[in-house]
Formats: sequence, structure tokens, C-alpha cells
Amino acid sequence: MNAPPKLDSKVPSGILGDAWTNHKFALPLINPANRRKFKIVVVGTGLAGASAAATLAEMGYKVQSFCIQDSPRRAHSIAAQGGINAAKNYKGDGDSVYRLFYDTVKGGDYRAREHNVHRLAEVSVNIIDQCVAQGVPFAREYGGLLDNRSFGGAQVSRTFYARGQTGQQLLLGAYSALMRQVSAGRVEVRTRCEMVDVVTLDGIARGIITRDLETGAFERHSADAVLLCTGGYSNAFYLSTNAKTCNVTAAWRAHKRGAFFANPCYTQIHPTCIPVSGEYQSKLTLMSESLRNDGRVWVPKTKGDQRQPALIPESERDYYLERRYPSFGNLVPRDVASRNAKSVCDEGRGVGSTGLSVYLDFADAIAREGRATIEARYDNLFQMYERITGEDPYSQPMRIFPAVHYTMGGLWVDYNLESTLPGLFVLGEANFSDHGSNRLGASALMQGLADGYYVVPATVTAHLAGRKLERIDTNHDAFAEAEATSRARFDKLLNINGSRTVDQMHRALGQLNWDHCGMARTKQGLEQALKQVVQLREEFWSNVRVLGDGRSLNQALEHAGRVADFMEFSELMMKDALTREESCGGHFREEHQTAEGEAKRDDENFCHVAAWEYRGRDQQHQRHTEALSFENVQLTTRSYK
Amino acid sequence: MGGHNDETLSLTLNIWRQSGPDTAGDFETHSLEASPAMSFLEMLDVVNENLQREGREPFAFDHDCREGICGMCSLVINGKPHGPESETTTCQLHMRSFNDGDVIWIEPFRAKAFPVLRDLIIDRSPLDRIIQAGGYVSVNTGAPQDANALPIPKQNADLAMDAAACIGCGACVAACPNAAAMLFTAAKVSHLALLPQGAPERVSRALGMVEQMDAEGFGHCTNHYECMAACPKGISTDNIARMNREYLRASILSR
Amino acid sequence: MHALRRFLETSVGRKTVLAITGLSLFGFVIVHLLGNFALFSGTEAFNEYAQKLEDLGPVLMVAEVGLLTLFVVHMGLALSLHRQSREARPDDYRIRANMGRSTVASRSMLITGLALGVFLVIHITDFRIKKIMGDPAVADLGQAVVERITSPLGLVIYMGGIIALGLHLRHALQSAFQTLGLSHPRYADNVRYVSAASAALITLGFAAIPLYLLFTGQGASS
Repeated sequence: MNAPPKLDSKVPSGILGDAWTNHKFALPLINPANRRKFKIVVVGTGLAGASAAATLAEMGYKVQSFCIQDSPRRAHSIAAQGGINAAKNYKGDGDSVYRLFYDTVKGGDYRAREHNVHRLAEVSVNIIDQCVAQGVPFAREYGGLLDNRSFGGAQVSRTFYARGQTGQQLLLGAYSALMRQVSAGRVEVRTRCEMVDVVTLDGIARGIITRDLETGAFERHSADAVLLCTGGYSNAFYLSTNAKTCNVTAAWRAHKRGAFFANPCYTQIHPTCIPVSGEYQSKLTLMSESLRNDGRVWVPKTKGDQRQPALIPESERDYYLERRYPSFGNLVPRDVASRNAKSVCDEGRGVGSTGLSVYLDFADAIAREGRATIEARYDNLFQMYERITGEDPYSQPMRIFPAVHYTMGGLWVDYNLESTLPGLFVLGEANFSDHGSNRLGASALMQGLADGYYVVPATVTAHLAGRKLERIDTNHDAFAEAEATSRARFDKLLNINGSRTVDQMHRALGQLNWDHCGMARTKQGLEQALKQVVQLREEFWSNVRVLGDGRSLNQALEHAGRVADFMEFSELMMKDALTREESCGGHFREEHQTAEGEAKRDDENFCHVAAWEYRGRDQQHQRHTEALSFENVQLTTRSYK
Repeated sequence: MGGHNDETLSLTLNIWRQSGPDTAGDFETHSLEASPAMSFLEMLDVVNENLQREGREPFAFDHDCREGICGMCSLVINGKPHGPESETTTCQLHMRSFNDGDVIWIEPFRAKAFPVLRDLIIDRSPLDRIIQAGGYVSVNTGAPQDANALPIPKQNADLAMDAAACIGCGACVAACPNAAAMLFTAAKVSHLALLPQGAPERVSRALGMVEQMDAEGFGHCTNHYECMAACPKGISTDNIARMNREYLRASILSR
Repeated sequence: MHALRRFLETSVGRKTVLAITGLSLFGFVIVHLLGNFALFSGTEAFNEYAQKLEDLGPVLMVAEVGLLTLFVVHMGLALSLHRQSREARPDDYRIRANMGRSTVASRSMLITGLALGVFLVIHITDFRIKKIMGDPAVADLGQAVVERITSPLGLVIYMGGIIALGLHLRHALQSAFQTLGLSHPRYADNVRYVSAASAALITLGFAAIPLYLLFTGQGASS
């Protein structure tokens, strides 16, 4: 199981706690006066992208930043509600960097690199300091100090939050830092501008091709380093909690140019989403799982019990999480909570008109702490719930159901966050690192900012200082080739003129992924889905209908380009799920479970990262592996009993 | 709210159609059977699906998170930015807020500073430039002091959070009879004025942001407070008073 | 002076000056009203009061020039701000709904302001100019005023002006506090009540004079 040379993780040796410091010291630097000679392209303006672009510009590099929204402030990081973890131990309840590290490795079901996770836990502390210095209005106690709460299965209070809008406030902090650099003339931000290809020269990423979404113009941008901070691929499932424009295109284009894609089958299903109400449903809305701190999850004990929740007596309710996991109760990790919801619904005990939801009940919390306290904690979430469902969660239990929420898989990166395509760095949700096969609550914000503020500024510098980078001109053939390929692709989409809309095709793909590559997967289902996804892709390229032209704002065309990539990507995701013959974290194979229905890992054969190499249109992907070793955290079966 | 989930609504929709920034636009009328449980944007999705099946181009409209936080969605619905419900973005507006037989007029946000790019999509980049003019704390990424070394009274932190909740959608501009961007600008000025981190740059921030706001071609504030009523996040016009105060103070103190 | 110019180039700066001049004019209106109350004690009392003002000589002149300047600056700024706002939305909405916060008073500030300007011109030509020119028609100023404001046309013009003033003040007072940043959640409501009440009192005060004269039979027709 030795990693082939193509997957050198560059994990530093030595004591875990000193590794990052020593590694940073060993990395070469660039004199401040010389930095302005280097140009860095940053794609995406979420937490990772905005923080990286701002920090690199502060250091003196020339930065060009791209986003597909009309402003960098709208990236989907903004929707994260719950909070951000940091090992500050402000509550004095026994937290430490090591404990955060330990919890994250364990929570990730032992499928993450120890060193990456430890670094994440280390810099988590700096992130809070940095954000507070920027003016992020975190919640405070009456004494004026920062407040913390326990979140998503953690047994210590280490989560910092800003009402239910933590992601928004952190992103606005990073965005304000970015805007400051724009006004200083060190960053150029291009909005409504989509990356459609990476340009490589001598095997190194040297620029990107973009399409201006307002005018349809293709543009070439050269760079000394390219950073992809383009988020995850949950929208492969069509219905997810992601924003509508979240897509895999940038990552997939980079993949086809040489960046390996790691662990695509690790998808996280979030247990507390508002259930689907009809076929027109365009997205699912997540409610922060902080709700599980006070809400109790239950379904009726008997199948098909159609009574109103208030009419079901206590003795006929099944608080199944509290029953099955007495020590964690309603706070079990996301994958456990989601799978349990699915299984009670499969048993026919689901509630609501579709039977695809479970209750999340606040009656006890309101009785215990008073309505005012619950309002102070969750009012914005309760209001959101009522707005969407028309039901008042103060007087009747919420109905929730799991939905795809986050993807742990992503482009493979080494310890420096550099992909297998040299010069191409991948940050935040777009990379595969740190969360293993399951992400803990309040860790996504932490990782995005850790990558952008602290990791990449050090490692990109090493790339720029260490490699001899020839001056590159956008007239180079490599740019011409990449641009022509992209143009041809969009022209083709416009000329198919079939009979199905992009949205229809996307929904069909999403259903396929949800049915066979969702919360629970089987060999048989995946094999069948793999055949169907190929057919669907063929149908897409022969029967999709994209109206309008490519020379002006055309949202259907944008969407078509992204769905085309989801079609190709989904095949790889299924293949990865099929190959990983074990259950771990967000990947649950029904063949691999214990007698009690819990996930059964296979550490002997699958304690590795699977990184897929693209080898050309008519070739099969090649699977590479990077062995994971656990020297500090003992491999054990997760137990939340 | 709620109650009639099985019914459908027969709607007449008048939707703004405009092919580009330099062309004239007009309303196009469509009828639709909608479900009360649909969101407003899902209703528009259905309109667009139907149009495309008939071989007609869909309406372009901005949207992204569809959960009321990214600030991408806009629209003036029956004369109100983000529609009839208070503190609700268009994406969070549901069709149960409408009645069977309703005629709905859908227009883009209108202001000289927000030119229409296509149909219902506008250019809101002036708001970014206002932030660039001072809506930040000048602190480089590095090793600032411990977060708890700077206690902040809870009351101030809460007020700062109230102001910082702005999603930058521009509904305040759209609702203002003068197309002023005062509430947007004031929310950021206030957020940072209420925190000690913002103190060193108070003067330059207030001057810079107010001047940029005017340079972008927004109107002036006549204190109608329509912005506050339209704001999907319920940002208070107290912030405008605070910005006026900050600006006056800055003008006196600036060199 | 650079700082002042910079201040006056922004809408917020101009609004600040608009608010300050507006509040000063409000002060003048109160004094004017109190002076007019002399009519309740008869035309002689009124003329006595007028004579006292005349006796101030150069001080009165300075005050009058000052007042005129306040008016001109106030109106000039209002018009320039209004222009900025008209330019800020060249294409208006086809359908326009009120969000529920603006009021008739707030939406009609320009109209009531312009109406007040017109009223003022009539008012000054009728009395002050004639007085300065030594027109015999206003030799007995008190009587001239009484005749003017109780004649049918005069009453209509006067009442029109007073209603415009009332509406204008109704929005202007609390608006000026907001513009000057003198707003605080703790007393913001009180500011609104006090400004509404003072607008109402001033309107009633001015309106009471001709009505009193008419009801007590001292009007022009008597």
C-alpha cells in the first residue's frame, strides 16, 4: 500500500505539536520588495478565497480574485449558521489544541491526516484573534468576554458564534479585508466571472481561462500560482443545502488538467434540514444543528401514526437518539443522526405528509428555560422555519429531515495544500483534507479560514521562491488551446437544441445520486447507477436545450456548463463509493455494518486516501492511494453509546 | 399563514423583460398555477421551465443561497422590494402570502447606480465600492492580541451585530423614494463605530464612505424610513442617525 | 475652508446645514407667532410690538438679512438635494407601493416647502416691503394685518400657508434631529411626539388668530 511517488503528502516528520512551526521555518521566504513581481490568481471569494486573497495582498503579492456572484460578499460561506471552533479553552472546561485535534480525527472516522488536523487545531486559536481584530461581532457575555457554546457532538464549549449568522460575519470580516486591499490597489476583484479552465505550462499551473458572465467574453489570466477556493460539490445531488450556483466546475476542470480528485464519495448529510414539500423544490434549507442542543428528536412508536404530535402521549413517542445513544443523545455526530432518521422513516414511522421527516421538539426546553431563553438562542431559526413551512415551532415540533450539506472529498492536496498539479493550490471545502470522512460541526469555517489566513500564505511563498517560473504571456499556445476548448464546449451546449431543460437534467442526476450514492449505498445500487449516469450524460449532450446566445448574460448556459461537469463528476463519485468497500463517516455501505446497524470500517484495507487520476476522455480513471498512519490517536471504532 | 396547502393559486404575472443595459424594457404577461407552498423564486423557476419548453428564453433573475442570507436576490414585487412580507427576502417569500387570482407585478430594483443588466438583474457593484472606501478595520493577518484582551460590553456588541446583519441586497435603495444608500452605508459605519476595533479609523471611514456613496449617484436621505420597512434584516434607521453623527464629528475633527 | 467645502459637497453635509437652518427658522416661527399673539390684545398692542422691533434699527436689519440668508440657504440646499435624488432614479417603478413608514408630510416636503416660499413672498410684499417703502396702506400695521387675514382671499392664502407650515414642520422637526444624529433609542419616541405636538401647536396658534378675529367681529368685513 505504499503511496506512489505521485502522492507525496510532504507531511513533516518530528513531534506532532512542533511540526507546523518547524515546517514553516524550513519553507523558503521571499523578500517583501520582490513579492509584487508575483501574480496570484484566487478563484472563489468564500472564507478560504477571500482570506487568502486579502492576506497574500497584504504580504505584497499582486492578486486577482474571481467570483461568480455579483459581489465577493455573497459566497456560500455566508450561509453557515452555527459557529466556528477554536481551542481557546475560555470556558475552562478542559479544552486544548490536542483535544480539538483528537476530536476532529476521531469525528472524521480516522480518514484524515493527523498532521493536517493538528495544524488546523493549532491555528484555530489565531483565527479567533484575527477575526475579533477585524471587528467580527461575536456573541459576548455580560462581562464583555467572548461567549462559547457546545456544538455538534463536542463535549466542551469551544464554539464561537455570532447569533445564527457566524458564517456571514466571518465572511464579511474576510471580505472587508479584501475590500481594503482592493482600495489599496493590490487586488483586482472580478465579479460575475467564472473560471472555465486551468492553463498549464510544463506541467505547472500558470493561469486560468474565465468567462465573463455578463458579456460571455472569454479571458486569459496568467499567474505564478493559482488558488482554487471554489467550495464543494453537494449540488451534484440537485437538492442540497448549498446555494444554487455552487458547483464542481473549477475543481473538475483542474482535475482534467492533472489534479487528482480525492475521496469524492465522502459526502455529508446534515440531519437538521427543512423537509421537501413538493416537486418544484429548488433547494433545501438547513437549520443550524445547534438546535439539537435543546431540541429532542422523536417519532411515534407505532408505524403510520397520523395523529397530531401534541396528541401523541409521551409513552408512545420514541426518542430514538436518546434511547440508542444514552451518553450523547441528541448530540450524536451528523452522520449518525442522519442515518437514524432515515432508518426510522424507512420503518414507516416518519412524520408529515410525505412521511419523510422526524420531529425536533422544543417543548421541554421551553418549559425548562422559558420561551425568552429559547427565543434568544434560536429565534432567527424559528422564524426561518415558520416562513418556509407556515408552522410555528414554538407551539408544535419542527419537522426535520437530512439533506446533503457538505462534501469532505475534494481535490487531493499535500501538506502545503498543493495539488498534484504543481502551482495549483486548493483551499477550503474544495480540497479533501482535514475532515476525513465526516466533518464535525463548526469546523468548516475553521478550516476555510485556517487555509486562507495561515496555511497558504506560507506555502505559496515556498512555491514561488522554490520553483523557477518562466515569465508567461497570455499569447502562449497553452492559453490559446485552453480558451479554444472552452469556447467549443459552450458553443456545443448552445447548438444541441434538444428537448429537455438543463434543470430537468440536473434534477434527474440529483435523484440518481440521492437514491444510490446518498445516505446509504449498496454495491448493486451503485453498479446500476453507474450505468444510468453514463446514459444520462449521453442524453445531456444530445438532448439538452439551452436557449439564447453566448454573447450576453445567459443563466441557462452557465447552469448547463456546470451540470455537464456534475454529470462527469458523479460517475467518479459513484465509482469511489463502489470501490471503498467499508463504511466510514459520510460513506455508508449497507454491506458493511455491524449487527446494530452501525458503520463498520475496514482499517486493514481502506485506511487510506483514494485519489483519482484523470487519464483522458476514453480512459478509465486511475485510483491512487495515500496510506494514513495514526501515531497519536488510536484507531478505534467510534462509539457514541 | 398556511392552512390551504392543497389549493393552487391562479396568478397573472407581469414580469419585466429587458435584453440589456442599453435597451428599453417592458412588462411581459404570463399566467401560472402555483402552489402556496412554493417559494417565490420556485414560482419563477416554474415560469422559466415552461418558457423554455415553449422555446422562449427564460427570465434572468439573481438568486443564490435561497435561504435569505447571501443578499443576491432582489425584485420589486407589487411595488415592494422583496415583496409584501416584512423582514423577508424574495427567496424566503412563499406563495402562501398571495391569493388566488392575484395579479403580480415583478420589476427590478431601480436606481441610476444600479443599472439593469438583463431582465430582473441589476449591477450592485457600487455597494462594494462604498465598503472599499472605509468599511474595514486596517489589520493585517498576523498575530493580533488575544481575542479576550479586549472586552466589549455586551450591549455594544449586540448593537454592532444588529448593524452588521446587513446582507447588502440593496432593498433600502430600492425602497427609498430618493434611491439613497444611507441605510446600507450607515449599517457598516455603525457596526464599526460601536466597536473599539473601529475607533482608530472612525474619521476617515465616515468621510470616505459618505463621499463614495454620493459619488456613486445615490440620492439623499429625507428620513422617510421606507428603507427600514423594506430591509429584510430589519436594520434600524437609528444607524443612519449614528452615521450622521459620525460624519459630523469626522468633519469637525478631520484635518 | 477646504474642510467646509468638502462637507458641503456631500449629501449628508448639506442635509446637516439644511437641518440647522431649518431649526433656526423654526425658532423664528415661534418668535413670530408669539409676536402675532399681540393681536389678541388688539391692533394697538400689535403696533406697539411692531414699533419696538422698528426701534431696534440696525439690529433689526441684521436680523432680517440673517433670516433671509437662512431662507435662501435652506431652500437652495433643499432644491439641490432634491435634484440629486431625482437624478438618482431616472426610471421610476411602474407600480409603486408605500412601505408604510413614509407619511403624507414626509412625501410632500418639497411641495409644502415651495408653498411656504410663495406664501412668504406674498407675506413680505404685503407688509414688510410696503412698510419699508412707507406705503400709507400699512401705516396702521395692526389694522392692515387684520383686514388682510380676515378678507376671504387673504384668509385662504393665510390658511394655505399655515397648513403648509404645519405639514412641513410635522416631518421636519424629527427629521432634523435624525439628520443631526440627535437620535437615541431611549428618547427617539419622545422626539417624535414632541415634534408632532409642536407642529400641531404652531399650526393651531397661527390658525387661531384670524378665527379669533372673525368670531369676535374684528374682521375686515366688520
